[in-house]
Amino acid sequence: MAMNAQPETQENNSLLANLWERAKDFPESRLILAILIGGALLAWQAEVFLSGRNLRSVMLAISFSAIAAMGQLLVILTGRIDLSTGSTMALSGMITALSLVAGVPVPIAMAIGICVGGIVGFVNGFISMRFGISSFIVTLGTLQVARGITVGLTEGDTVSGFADIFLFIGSGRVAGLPLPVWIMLVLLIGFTIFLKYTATGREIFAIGGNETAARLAGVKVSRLQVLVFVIAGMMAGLAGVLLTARLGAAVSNASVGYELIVIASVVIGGASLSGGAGTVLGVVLGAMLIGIVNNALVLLVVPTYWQQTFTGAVIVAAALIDQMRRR
Amino acid sequence: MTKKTNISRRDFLGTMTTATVAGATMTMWAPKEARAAGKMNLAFVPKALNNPVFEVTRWGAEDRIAELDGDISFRWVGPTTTDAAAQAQILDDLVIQGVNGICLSCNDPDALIPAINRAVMEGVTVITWDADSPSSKRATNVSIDQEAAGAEAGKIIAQLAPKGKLAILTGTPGALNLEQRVAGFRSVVDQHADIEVIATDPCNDDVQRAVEIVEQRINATPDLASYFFVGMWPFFADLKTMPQLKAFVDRGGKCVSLDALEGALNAVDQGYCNSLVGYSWWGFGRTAVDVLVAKIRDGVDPADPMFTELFIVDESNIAEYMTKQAETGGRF
Repeated sequence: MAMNAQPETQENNSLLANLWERAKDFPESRLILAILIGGALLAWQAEVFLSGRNLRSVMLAISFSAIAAMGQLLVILTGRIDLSTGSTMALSGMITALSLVAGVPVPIAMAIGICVGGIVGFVNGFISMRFGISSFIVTLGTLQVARGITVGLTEGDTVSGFADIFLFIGSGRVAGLPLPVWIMLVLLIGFTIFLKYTATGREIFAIGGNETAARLAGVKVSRLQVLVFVIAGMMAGLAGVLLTARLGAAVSNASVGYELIVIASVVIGGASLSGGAGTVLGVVLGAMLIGIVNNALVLLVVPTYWQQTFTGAVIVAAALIDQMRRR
Repeated sequence: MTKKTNISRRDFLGTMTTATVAGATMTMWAPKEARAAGKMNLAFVPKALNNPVFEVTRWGAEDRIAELDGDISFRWVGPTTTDAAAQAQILDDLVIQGVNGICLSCNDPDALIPAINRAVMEGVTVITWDADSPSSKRATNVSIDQEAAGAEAGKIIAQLAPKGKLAILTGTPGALNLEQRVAGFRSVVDQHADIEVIATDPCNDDVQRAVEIVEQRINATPDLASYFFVGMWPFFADLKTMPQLKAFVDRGGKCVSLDALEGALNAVDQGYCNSLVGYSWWGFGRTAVDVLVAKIRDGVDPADPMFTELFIVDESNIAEYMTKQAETGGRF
């Protein structure tokens, strides 16, 4: 018996080593590990973390930023950036809200809101590509314009009083999970397939990898770049519409600074700000990490004046872990 | 030797178009009234244009100006989002444009001091409402006694839930008026040994974050006895999106909030909140106009500060306030 035990142990060890080697190659492995360790520590300190109600609340909060971040990922993959995300969310939510109170049916009002996001995205992409202006500057401008329109339309007021079906879309549960979480999961699969298995998806990576080479290879860079901004705008629009449904109200100061959370989710998720690298799963995991940190602020009763420091430190730590993986 | 500068036609046309659009926009929005002689020009500068509570003060100011005799113009101008530097710039611009009186709610008590003092040096009467800049040369602060409001909320909590765990939801950490409210509140509840303050969660004036925090705090603390909202952030959302808060109050938890605008009144009416400590944002606007007009026209120095009365809303008088809200649209 003793003679057989040693080879068995060796076999197990080599299996574990093999699994470890494979896990190391999996781009999101360290982020998943960080989330698991962070979650375990949080659950150890606050049992309620793992309760269904708490996890649902966290997942719901994550879903809005993750959806907007998927659009942002496409922009970042091409080596550009979209700073107008938060304002686009607020504008789309407000337009949907105004449409609803004007009597427009829910699906059409939602579609209008998402299209408004697409229009903001088109403006971003068109001006950026047609006039060769940095997307940083253009989207910084549209950040102001979109926020200004949102405030101007209602003079800062809140719009509320929607049908129950709209509120259900924002937080109602289907098969145990809030609807926005299902939408996020469907988009996760859809965007993953789009980026991995379609020619357009591969061209987006190619632009970020080497724009000149992509152009020489026949990729219609300008057209594709505009399309990417339109998709990003529509995703921000969808997130804004869902957020309005979640709150049952459109507030003109909604999502102020949300672009930073969205960009942080993308970068924590392993995307390179210089373009050409990143995954949709990484983005969702990045948003998840930020969501768990926000939950930890409440559950661990982090002192009020130190919460920002805590959040920032975790974001930097996550970025460092990812950088170490790359090396 | 003259160096020749090459400007392409496209760049030239682009620059000219931008300059023309900017110039036309500024001309269109410039306060023409400010240039007319003999007219009193008043400007109100809220912390941000995107905060609905300030709009109620705007209604109050506009209503009062409409009632007064005399040629008074009114401007409502502020940064889109809370930004002390942008407010300082707006103050400088208003002085250049020739306003006689400014009433502002300060994003930062210290950062606004130089701009306020510059305006006063130029002969402009400056007062503050809501958030003050006490070390500046402003004539007065039209507001509430923030500490007293917090203390009032503390007394209500101590009466409704004299023992057990208490959570506080606040806005942006460091905001002077919120800090004063919390200090006043703590001065009362800390005297009750059976009340344990377990957390002060900041929502950074973000409605979404406020709703999330309330949900997560109630989930995390099943034996929470009471909740104090330093401002009414969660009540800007549709109440139906906060079933946890309703369940909390239904099972005997006590919720008290400052502010008594429409959403908060609905919260008391529908059983999401037990009591409100309210004050008149509409009255701020009316009082501020009266103070500015008296100072500019008659040289009357106002009392400093000028505190508005607080009122309590609970189940005993909610019907009265709901009727008032419906009849006036919030102008009370």
